[in-house]
Amino acid sequence: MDRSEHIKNLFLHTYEESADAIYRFCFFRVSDKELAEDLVQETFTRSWLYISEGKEVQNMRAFLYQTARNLIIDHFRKKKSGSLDALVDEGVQFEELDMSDSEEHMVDVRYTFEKIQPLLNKLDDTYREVLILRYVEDLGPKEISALLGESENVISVRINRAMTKLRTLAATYTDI
Amino acid sequence: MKKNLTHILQEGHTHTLSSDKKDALKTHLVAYMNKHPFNAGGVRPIHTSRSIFVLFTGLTRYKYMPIALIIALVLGGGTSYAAEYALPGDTLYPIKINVNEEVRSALAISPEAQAEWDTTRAERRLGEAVTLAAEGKLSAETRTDLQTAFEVHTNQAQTLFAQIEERGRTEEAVIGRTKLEASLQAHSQLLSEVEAEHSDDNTEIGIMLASVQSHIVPVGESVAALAPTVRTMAMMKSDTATENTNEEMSANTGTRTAHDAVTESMVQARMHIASDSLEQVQELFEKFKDDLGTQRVGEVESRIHLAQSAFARGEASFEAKNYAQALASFQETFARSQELRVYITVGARIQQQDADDHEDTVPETEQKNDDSSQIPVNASVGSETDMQSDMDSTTTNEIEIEAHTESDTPDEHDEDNGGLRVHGNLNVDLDI
Repeated sequence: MDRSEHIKNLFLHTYEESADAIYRFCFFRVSDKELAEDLVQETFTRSWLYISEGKEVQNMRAFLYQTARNLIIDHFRKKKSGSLDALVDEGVQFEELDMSDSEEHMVDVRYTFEKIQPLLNKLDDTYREVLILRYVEDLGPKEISALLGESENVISVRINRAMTKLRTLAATYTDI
Repeated sequence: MKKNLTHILQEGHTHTLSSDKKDALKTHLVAYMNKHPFNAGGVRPIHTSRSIFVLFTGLTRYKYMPIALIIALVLGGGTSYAAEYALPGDTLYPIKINVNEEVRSALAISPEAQAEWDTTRAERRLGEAVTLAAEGKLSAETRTDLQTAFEVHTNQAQTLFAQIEERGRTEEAVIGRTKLEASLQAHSQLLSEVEAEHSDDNTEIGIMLASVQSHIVPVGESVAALAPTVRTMAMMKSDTATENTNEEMSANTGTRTAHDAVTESMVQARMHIASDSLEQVQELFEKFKDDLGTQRVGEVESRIHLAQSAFARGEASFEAKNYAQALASFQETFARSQELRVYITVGARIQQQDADDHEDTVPETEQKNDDSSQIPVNASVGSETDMQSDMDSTTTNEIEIEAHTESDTPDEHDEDNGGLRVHGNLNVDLDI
């Protein structure tokens, strides 16, 4: 098998492994199934184009996320700040880092993921993004910081703030 | 009763593409991949974000550069050739390191090319240090800057060599490291010589020298680890006669003894590299003999003989099919030649000792096969021209060029007589 065949197979294998993750990442941010599917398509075709020119990619997974991320940003720019309300950041205390199992993150038992989703959508996009990466995709703060190009501390703080906000929303919405 | 929010979110992981949809997307992807087949060879435009970012960084530090210079750089004049010989303190020195060298960094795609370029950059910094030191102009501040840069490039080169090794390209790593070690040795010797000549004011030279020397051993050791049959420069320096070679060879069980079989073709390749290198050195010697001063001429002549006899031994071993020995001898030839290359060119330069005389010598410390610094740079201003056919326009990299003259915003920049402010990213298409 020659090299180009090999690379092609490798890339398709990567698709099999990562398509769902990229889909989730896109879907939970744009809340639109068809759009998310298109974004997945474009993420992979674009990444392929880059590779097909012989350019080296150190970390394929990160590269895919970054590409997807850029596409999502483009999408929001075109929509002109999107349809999502950003919550006003008022009086949120600086939380202790790494409190994922503490009382702070407990919510009503009736909540399921489907029910949380609309609340997720109400979050500021940067908050939603880290929550998806951290909990839905199970990436560590280190990986996320590498992906987003921001320090681990910034990421940890953001994750905690996001969780607090989400929890607050979950507590105030009564019709579950 | 409560539930952990993190667990709820984790449930989201089950959300996936339907398998039908996933397959449909894959089919589409395969069609796309067939339409854009893998093509690593051939000319291609360079759009790596690294090159853009790096070029941009280089320019923003000199936001108020003279318009003519920016236009020349940006609109196709190529990198500034005149800047190539600049020394720290010269007006064009920032161009040399922040523009010219960065453009060449951007061109180095493979780890091998990057490592080679990092080695060259380390050499340049050392050469500049030696030249300034010889003129008695190596200040503490300049020395710090040059030392830092030299260390960064050397470390980066070493990191890249390790990566190259990881990929199984041992030969390339050995050659690269040998070149680096040789260069360090040569600069170290020159610094010592200059230090001795400036006995009354040589603190900074001494510090620089110490730094260079501290890097020689690790680089040498990394060569030895890769290629236990070769003698590093350190070994050669300790003036061992050839009968010690065998003992050293058996004592040097690096981590890769069993790894690389010494094949005939490997040895042949090394022989060619060694003979090219030796030839280059002889040419350089002819060219710069008159500029070296009698003491250095004598030194160089005897070392050339050592390199030549190593080569002759290599040839003999090769004919006798004693490939390990041949490889070691050609390695020695190569290492000695590389050291001489630097010693001759930098030595000739400092012998001049003329503060104003920068224009004559081409920086021939660099290998002949380096890309010429005359690289046509066609900058496209505006949105990307590529990648249009199958997709919508990407995150556009727009460049705004504001030209301003003295009359604009007089409070900010009174020292300039007009300049160009460059925002955003610069897309550079390079024809290689």
